[in-house]
Amino acid sequence: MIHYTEHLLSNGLRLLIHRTTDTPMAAVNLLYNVGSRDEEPDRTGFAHLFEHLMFGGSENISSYDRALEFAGGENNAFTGNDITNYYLSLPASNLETAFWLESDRMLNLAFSPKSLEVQRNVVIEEFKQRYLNQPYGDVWHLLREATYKVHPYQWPTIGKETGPIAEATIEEVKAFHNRFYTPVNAIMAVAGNVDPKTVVALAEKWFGPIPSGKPYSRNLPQEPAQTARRERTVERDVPANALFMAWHMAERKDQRYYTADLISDILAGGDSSRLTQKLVKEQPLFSDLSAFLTGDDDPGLFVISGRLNENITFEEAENAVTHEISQLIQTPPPEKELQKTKNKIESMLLFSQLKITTIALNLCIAKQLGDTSRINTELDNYLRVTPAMIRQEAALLFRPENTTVIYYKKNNTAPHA
Amino acid sequence: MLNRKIIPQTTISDLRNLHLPQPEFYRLQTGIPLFTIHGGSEALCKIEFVFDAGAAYQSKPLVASFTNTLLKDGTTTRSSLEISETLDYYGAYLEYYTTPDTAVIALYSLNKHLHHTVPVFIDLIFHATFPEQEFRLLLDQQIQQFQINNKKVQYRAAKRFKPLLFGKSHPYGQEVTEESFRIISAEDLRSFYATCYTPDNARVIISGNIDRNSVSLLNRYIPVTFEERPKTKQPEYFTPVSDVHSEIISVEHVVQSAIQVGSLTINRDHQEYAQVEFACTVLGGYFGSRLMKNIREDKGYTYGIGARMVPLKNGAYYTIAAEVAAELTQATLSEIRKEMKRLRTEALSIEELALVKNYLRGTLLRSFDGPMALAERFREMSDAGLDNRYYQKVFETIETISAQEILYTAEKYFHEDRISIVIAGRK
Repeated sequence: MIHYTEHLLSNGLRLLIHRTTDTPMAAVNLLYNVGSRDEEPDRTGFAHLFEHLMFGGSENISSYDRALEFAGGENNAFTGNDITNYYLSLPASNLETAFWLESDRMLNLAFSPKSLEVQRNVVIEEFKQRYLNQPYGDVWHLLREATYKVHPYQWPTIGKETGPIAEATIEEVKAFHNRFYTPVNAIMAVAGNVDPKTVVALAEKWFGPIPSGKPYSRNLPQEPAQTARRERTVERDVPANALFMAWHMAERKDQRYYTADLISDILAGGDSSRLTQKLVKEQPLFSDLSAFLTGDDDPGLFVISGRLNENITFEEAENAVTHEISQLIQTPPPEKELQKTKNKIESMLLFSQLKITTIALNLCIAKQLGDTSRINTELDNYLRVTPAMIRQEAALLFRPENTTVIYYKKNNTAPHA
Repeated sequence: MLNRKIIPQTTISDLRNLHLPQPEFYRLQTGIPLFTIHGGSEALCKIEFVFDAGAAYQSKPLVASFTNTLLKDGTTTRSSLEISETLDYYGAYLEYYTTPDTAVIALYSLNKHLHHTVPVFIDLIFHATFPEQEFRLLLDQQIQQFQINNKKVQYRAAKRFKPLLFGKSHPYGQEVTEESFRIISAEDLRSFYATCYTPDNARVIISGNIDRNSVSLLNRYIPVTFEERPKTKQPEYFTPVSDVHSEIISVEHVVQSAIQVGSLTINRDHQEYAQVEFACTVLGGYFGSRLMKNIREDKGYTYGIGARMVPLKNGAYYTIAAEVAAELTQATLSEIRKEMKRLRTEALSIEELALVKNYLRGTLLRSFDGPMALAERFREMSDAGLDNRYYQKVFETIETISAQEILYTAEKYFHEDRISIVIAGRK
């Protein structure tokens, strides 16, 4: 059970506080309600580039990192499809430094042309390091493009290509900050060895004077139901063939989401799971195999991916996966098997609560999903799943017309694209 | 009106006042030393077995890591499936890895399930059988993984770096090649297991919200008598020749090159080690370091560049590594040299010195935060045969080191003409 208090500043900033005396540290998490799904189709990768620019100096502070390091802190950030998230931890005695830093860059950035130029290059190097210069590095570009025709989940956070990143202008950066980086569009959580009263006072002091901004109302085109199976074959310079299968699933707040998550565990969570036992160990078709959700707020993907062993055909591999899936559609899993996946989730949730940075992040995410108390009810959403619900969800999820397959073929002669 | 130009006061307590809790020490019935570090409010814990069974102890590459990985895949009384079925059912998970010196296998479990998970955990540590079938599966997986890694410039540069520094006949200089996968057998693992995974070569650390039950469970399930096993053979360490080497692994059609440079250096038991580590931090050990500031934040050549110390039990080196735009490989190298030269010629300003000190104070506070973090620090110390006096020296150094001392240290230990270089990609 995570204890927390909830506060609302008059400018609309939402603040969550969790106190624990087990640590000398404090963690601060700031979630902005903007992700790559909010980008224009011809400006993809911008939300992530912007995240880099948040470290390029703000109106009154020339270097965010330097000031934080001076207070003994460390920080990072990530951009996702749904949100952009900034987090830091520092000795609790220096908590005010975090408020000073975070409020200043919410208030206004320095918008330095030099910082924009450098970060464009840094992000392009990141694009190369993680997506171009890696075996299978482009698979998410392929998978998203194949599964989404309308919804902005069709591009990955890094962007479709490097072009728009190279062309980004200071005007765009300013407009983006004005539109999304406002109190009303942010959620803040503080966890650690802190006095909630002091935290509220600090929030009022540093964030209170920031103009609230206009609420952003998201109005994204929703992906229509897929009506026919999709396939794509690519050849790349990789050592092994790989199979990627994806199905559209329910949105994050739907009970079906949790049922699907348990299905992913039944199939490939742990060494004793069905796919791992049957297709990696007993009949070694795959050298590795996993099943997971993309975990998106809007309807996301259920993915099964694996690398094939030498001399195994795509057909054999795919048929074997399809066979296991159809078992689940025909017969509800035994109670004991379902209990196993629930126990695993319970344990995982408890272990994740050991870190104050995780608690602060999870508080923000729960609030973003509409209700902070979700942080304590998450487990119940899993526990209420029954074997019949698993069977029903599998039937709904794994419909042939809801399936997308990427055949990622090795071709040892072609240079990597 | 709030003046945002005024920096809030910061205070970080002097590290020398930091109280490091000592683990409690016991001996299990079999004589195995047990250390416990209690803390945290959730009813869960980590039980960790550490053996002197890292890569330095193997007679050919891969044996140490394969042995460690396959512990969980079959015992005299349980199949691989029975093991994973039980651990998965109780939501427990294993963590296992080898370092050059040690092999670690840890169980993470909720306390309420320990009486189910501990017997299985102890069984796989002390009665592993290394079934041929499981060995073949792992071998095929690892060959494929090796081929994939070989497509990564960063992996290829890193793989060559230690052999280059230590020499290939040194226990730390072994290198995995395609050949390594052909000459390894399940029998190699069994004999390595028999000599290295013995009670007299083991120590146990339990951290978390420790249930009294867990110690008695260990005592109940760890076998009291063992058949006579050969003693662990100590690796033959020797002092490697400190030469400057460079190597280019040419890879066509890459958009980035991986650079790794560095040199052998002094180890944690040396009286100047804490100073060297401090200087290494200034150079490339944090986000605001000189290398990051220059090569990423000023020039945008890379997504990231870092320098770090790698202290092993019987040798140490420092290394600087980055993946950079392929056409900027030489430009990056010359910037690295420039920064190394600057480290030994230009004294840190008062601000920079204060910044690094505060950064390190925060980092150390974090690294001792919570029972599992404390356990990790304690394990590193015990692996290296050191005790808390090591950290007292580190704390003292951070609090007192001067800009002059850093210049002296850099001059002695970080000379840009004495680095070995590996480049994978385009030169």
